[in-house]
Amino acid sequence: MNNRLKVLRAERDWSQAELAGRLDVSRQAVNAIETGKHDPSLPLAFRIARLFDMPIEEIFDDGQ
Amino acid sequence: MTDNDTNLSGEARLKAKRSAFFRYFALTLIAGFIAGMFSGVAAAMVEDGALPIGVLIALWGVSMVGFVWFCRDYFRRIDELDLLDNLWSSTIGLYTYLAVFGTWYLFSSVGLATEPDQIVVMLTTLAVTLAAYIARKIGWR
Repeated sequence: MNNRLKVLRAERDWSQAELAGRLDVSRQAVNAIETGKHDPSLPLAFRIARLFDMPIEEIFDDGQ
Repeated sequence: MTDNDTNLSGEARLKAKRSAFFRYFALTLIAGFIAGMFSGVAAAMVEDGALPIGVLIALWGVSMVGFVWFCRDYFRRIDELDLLDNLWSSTIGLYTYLAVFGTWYLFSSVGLATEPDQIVVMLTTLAVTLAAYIARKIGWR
């Protein structure tokens, strides 16, 4: 699944550690999501959407 | 998380969480080491007749309760990626156990090998589980 997490993070000048701390996950989890190696659970996807104040589908794209 | 934590930056929160986790992990390792030492000494004392078997059984019960508590607490503390890493490595470990034990048992039943050695099978299982966990940790997902 593609996502805009890296772009959104860069726009706010946040490091992966900064985003991880705000989402209460590990830095490795942020990295794995950004590189497409891990698709977040629905609760985490909602937390990400709330943090960036955007709908989930504007952050994640399943290619459909 | 306390109210003060919400004033921290994400990096500071992550750092505090990591420090707390490693402190917790180190304490449980020490507790496990002490429990292992005590149970070893107690087993030797039971063999010598210096300690009633009931004490050893009680120590074993306490250790098992502690172990189950730690496992439950550990999985509540880690995030979903680490949980997946643990589940994948455990699954690979279980399949390794079934393959190694099953193969060894098969060949021993027809006389091509000795009886399966449970210690060797268990150590192989642990080694493969750990290797799978490390592989996932370094990004081979």
